[in-house]
Amino acid sequence: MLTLHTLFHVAHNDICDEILSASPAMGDEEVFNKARTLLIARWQAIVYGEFLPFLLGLTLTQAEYTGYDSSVVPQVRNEFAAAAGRYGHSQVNSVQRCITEDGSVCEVGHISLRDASFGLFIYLTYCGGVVG
Amino acid sequence: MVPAMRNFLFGTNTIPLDLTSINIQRGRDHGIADYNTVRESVGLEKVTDFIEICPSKPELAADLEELYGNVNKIDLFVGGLAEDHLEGGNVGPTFGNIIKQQFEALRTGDRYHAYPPHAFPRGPQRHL
Repeated sequence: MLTLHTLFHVAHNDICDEILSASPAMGDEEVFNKARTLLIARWQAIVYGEFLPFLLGLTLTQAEYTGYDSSVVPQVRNEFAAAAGRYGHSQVNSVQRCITEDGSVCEVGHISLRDASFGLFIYLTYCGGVVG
Repeated sequence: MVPAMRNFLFGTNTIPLDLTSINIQRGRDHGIADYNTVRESVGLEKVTDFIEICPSKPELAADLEELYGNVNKIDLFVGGLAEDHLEGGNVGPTFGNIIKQQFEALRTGDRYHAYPPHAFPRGPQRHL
């Protein structure tokens, strides 16, 4: 989660730079909101175009998107929040792989998950913030 | 679930917790229905035997039977995770259908949903 969060902060700023180089006179607020919209679109493309097909497999395909429908309740279902959405807990690895920018294992080595929770200082001290 | 999640969750900061137990209890606290009832509610057939949950893992089915004794009393988190995965997927049919319905609702019920690309006819990048 930490990794993704950081990645998307960086991606947001990256898009801002692109917008600014195309339209140098644009104000901060407009640049921010434009970048925000584009990044959300990119996120949604990843979730619906890559993540869900991988998760749901070949037999369970998403209904085709036909636009906004005000009668659809987008609230999070209890069954999703309290059970199905937590399937990911079973995918967590015992080891947090820590690599440097060139792909080699960082000097502290990989970090055992049991030592890693609330252990942000480990990443910041030894890994230069690159964790995957 | 790996041991670090079952026996040492947040162990550096507090008394180590067991995330599986927390999830089972959370399901009961929230009052969500049992595995078989939810199966039916997302459009699947109810199972009548433990082996139907995970045909590829008879030992797991036997464990579930020993622990629960009755296919209508399984916690949703446990039953959902125990299922054999969908073909080419990473979850079983019950969790798969819950997740599919949830994400479809989040998409269709969102006035500001930006994807698929018809919001950006030439793709997000080109829109710049």
